[in-house]
Amino acid sequence: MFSIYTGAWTFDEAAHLLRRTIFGPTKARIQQAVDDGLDATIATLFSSPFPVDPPIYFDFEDDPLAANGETWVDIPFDEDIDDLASARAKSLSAWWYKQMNQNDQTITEKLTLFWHNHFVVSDSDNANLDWRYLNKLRNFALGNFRELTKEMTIDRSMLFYLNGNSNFKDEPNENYARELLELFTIGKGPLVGVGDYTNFTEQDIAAMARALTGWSAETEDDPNAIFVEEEHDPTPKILSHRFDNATIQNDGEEEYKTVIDIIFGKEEVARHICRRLYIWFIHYHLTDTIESEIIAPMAQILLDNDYEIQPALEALLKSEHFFDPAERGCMIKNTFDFFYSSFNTLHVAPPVDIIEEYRMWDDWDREFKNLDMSVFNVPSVAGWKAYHQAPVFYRDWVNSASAVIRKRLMPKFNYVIQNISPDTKGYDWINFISLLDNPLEVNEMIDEICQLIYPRPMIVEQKAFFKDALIPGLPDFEWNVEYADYLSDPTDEVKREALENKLHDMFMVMMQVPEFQMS
Amino acid sequence: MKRRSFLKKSTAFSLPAFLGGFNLSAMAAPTMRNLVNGDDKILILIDLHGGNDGLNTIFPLDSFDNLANARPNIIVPQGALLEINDSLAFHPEMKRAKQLYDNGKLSVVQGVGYADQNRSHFRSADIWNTGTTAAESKTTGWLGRYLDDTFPNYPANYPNADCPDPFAITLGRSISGTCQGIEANYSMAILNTDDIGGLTTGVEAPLPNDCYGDELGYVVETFKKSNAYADQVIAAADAGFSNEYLYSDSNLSNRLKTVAKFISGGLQTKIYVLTLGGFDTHANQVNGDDPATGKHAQLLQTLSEAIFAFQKDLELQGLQDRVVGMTFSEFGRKIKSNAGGGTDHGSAAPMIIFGNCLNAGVIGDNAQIAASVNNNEGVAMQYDFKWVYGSILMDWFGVPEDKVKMLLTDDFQYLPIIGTCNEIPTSTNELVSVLEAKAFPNPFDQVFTLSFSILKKENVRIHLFDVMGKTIRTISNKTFTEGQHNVLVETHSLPSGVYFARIEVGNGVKSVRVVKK
Repeated sequence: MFSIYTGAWTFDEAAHLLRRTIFGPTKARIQQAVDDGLDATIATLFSSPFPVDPPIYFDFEDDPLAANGETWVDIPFDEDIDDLASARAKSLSAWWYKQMNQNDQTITEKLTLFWHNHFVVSDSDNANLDWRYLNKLRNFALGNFRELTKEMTIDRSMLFYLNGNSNFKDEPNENYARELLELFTIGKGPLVGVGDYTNFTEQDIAAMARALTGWSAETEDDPNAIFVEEEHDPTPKILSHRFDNATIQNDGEEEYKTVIDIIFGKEEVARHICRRLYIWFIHYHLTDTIESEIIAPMAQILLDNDYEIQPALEALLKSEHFFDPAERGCMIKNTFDFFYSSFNTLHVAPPVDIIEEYRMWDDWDREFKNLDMSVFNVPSVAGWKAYHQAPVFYRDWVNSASAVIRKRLMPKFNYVIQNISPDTKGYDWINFISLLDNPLEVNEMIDEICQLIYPRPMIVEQKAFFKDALIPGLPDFEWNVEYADYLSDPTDEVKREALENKLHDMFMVMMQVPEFQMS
Repeated sequence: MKRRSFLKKSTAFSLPAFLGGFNLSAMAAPTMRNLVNGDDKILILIDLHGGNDGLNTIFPLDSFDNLANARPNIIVPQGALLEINDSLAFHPEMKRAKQLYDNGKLSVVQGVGYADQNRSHFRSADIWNTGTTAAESKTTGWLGRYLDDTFPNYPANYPNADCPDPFAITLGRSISGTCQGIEANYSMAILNTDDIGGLTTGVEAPLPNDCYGDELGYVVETFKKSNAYADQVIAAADAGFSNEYLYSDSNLSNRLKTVAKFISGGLQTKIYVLTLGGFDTHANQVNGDDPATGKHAQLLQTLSEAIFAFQKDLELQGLQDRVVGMTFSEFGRKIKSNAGGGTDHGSAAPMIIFGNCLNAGVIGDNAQIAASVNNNEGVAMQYDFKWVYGSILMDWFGVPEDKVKMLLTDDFQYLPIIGTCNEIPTSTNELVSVLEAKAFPNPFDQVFTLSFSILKKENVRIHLFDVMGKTIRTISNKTFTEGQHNVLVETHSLPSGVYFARIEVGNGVKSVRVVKK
């Protein structure tokens, strides 16, 4: 199951890989992958993303050091300026959504979101801290898990989020140490004795919390957390038998690294993170077979490579198991997958003006919040429920209320976009179908769209249902007549409008059927 | 014994009582259908999300000075409080709740929590939703297990002619963890009654027997059930009536108004789950210049006005004997306030029960506030929340006690929360099997004596907890004879600090706060 996939490499395989690794692949991107082959496609996905401009103010004139349209990332965070905090926070979220739209080449965006779901921070109220946090995730996304964990342990947003900032010698706060063990690294096993969670014990939480005392996020100018010697507990910390009764000796501001190294000395850490990656990229059904056939060898690769993420993740995404036809399409889309599988895949162009573009992403942020997924707003330290909460997992995204909100999302696209940028088109169906292989023939056109937007084949009756929205009650050749008629005179606005409306009806139906919830 | 007699009575009298106060304009055909079925009891849950500060909700007057001392920057002046009896008072913004209490329509269960209190929001909310101990982890909700037991084939073949309506409804965007069953969640999320259902299922293709078929099948089922239930819900909302003038304009009020319409319109839904968020009051819980006002005061006002309006609405329509409601929250807050004018995550807190059929009054002892309070100290747990859940399942949904133990906990003890309809408040409760518990010396060095008396020969369980609510050890779990007993408690291995000895005899509980020097 974990051997390298050697089967056919067609549009369907390429589309499956890209749906799981970038947001809303386009037909052109999938075709590029088909042409490149599996190895080269993986190589591209795992290459460094293009450098991008940092976030800018898009609706804020009150910062004397940065005008609207300029970046604020290196400018001190001045709490005394009204609304500056919210202007920067919105800018950062908008920037992130913009990357999910623009980066269609590398796995960076999906993996950064994975790490955001793993090393959760929320509501730091200081976007400069969050910007640095986010860059660590992006830079380490494919790097070394152990080193990323060290970075996160003394990250200022994290120190605020999990009370590392109030972890003092005389009053240790165990919040971070608990989540470090329970969620971030080795994971909590069954309770097998008093305070003994198989992989670690309450004693280890208390000892590690003490080893992590002394870190402060309350710095004025230093972008990094600072170590306050007087608040650090210098006494030896003795761990339980789960960590071989090891003792952590005082090592001041280097001591946190010892804590992480000790935890990562246990191979269970590799299995835990591989399970998390498996749930994020393939499915939540971690059966005994998956444990032994996938998680075990994947974790071994991770260990063989000293916790470098890339080789293990590459192996997973190149495996027979990943491309097994029975494993495809088994994911219910999260909010972002749902949104971008329409916005990106169906070629909605953001406004050209960058300020307008930021404003648009900010508007979508509000919609995303209604759909229970937005960045820097993760519901709990355990991440979004879909990736940890048994028995519901992915099903958490769809219920009777959220289904109605999802249903209303796509029909809003043009309105939201044109409200900000009246000259921007939103959906441009005529342009979109012109990129298909044979838009003149209605059945071929619908086949091609279905192959692009659904993870599994649709049956004839389903395609007929879509066709009925396009040319209700008419014979097939009428589509050819109408479309050819338009093509003969593309400047005729009336004809264009009529055609656009019919296509709009069909696409809206296509995005409302249950199959569009799948990825 | 009282419980059983109640059950008989409530069945026998529900019909005439229902018709007696009935508002004819609201009498729609579906309402009659409920009567014929007989099984017409409804439970309302209100999740006070974020961890409600019970000590700023219901004030123990017998230790008010100590409380004021522990939280000087947020304490409401005693003169402003609304006394409900000699030793307890409601927050000044709970006028409507007090009115309900005075009329026997609202009860308080004191010190509800669980052993080994977890102070993380998400974990503690899971514990309350699933109805487990702190150490267990269950994937089903406490009501989900009850419903699974009653409707073992759900979700296949539902809705059907006998059960045309959703079993549970959440008013909001999410379904409720309390209603998670093995196969499916029993709750239907309704955000807006004007926009439900109407989901396109298109043409259904056969589902393959793999994970795609499973997940897609879930989506298809959700769409279809939403559509099917939506018709029922819309019909009930249309047929239903609500005395809208009673309600204020809060979200909670509006949602309870919708629930009243559903009930009045004959919807057979048994459970409604609502959420009032904003209780995570770490900072600025009160207004600095007037601690009787502020964020928390507003929440309490919202809550009591909404409950009051809802209760009144039901009474005007003659529906009051069918509905019981209760609040819950993932934890209470620490006894000491913080420097930011707020309170941090604590332990136990009171639960508020409302309805017409209560054993009205206060169940349990007041929270004990010592003269000197530990920084991390929360209110000690008196009753396990699963006892409250189970007692409601028994008296309201007629679940037998052995089944309650199976669904919730073997340690279940019955609490007389539900009573006869229209009962006037009693000043004392019936939980008096433990009398006069005390500890001496207190503070102590290594050993203290716990002295208590019981009325008859019974098993006595004594546990020692620390200030975080963590179980330190079991001191006793054996049968004692009637009368007074002294138990020597040795604590050599324990660090100095505050501890609680919790004595449990049947459903009677006393907690004694002890301090090790």
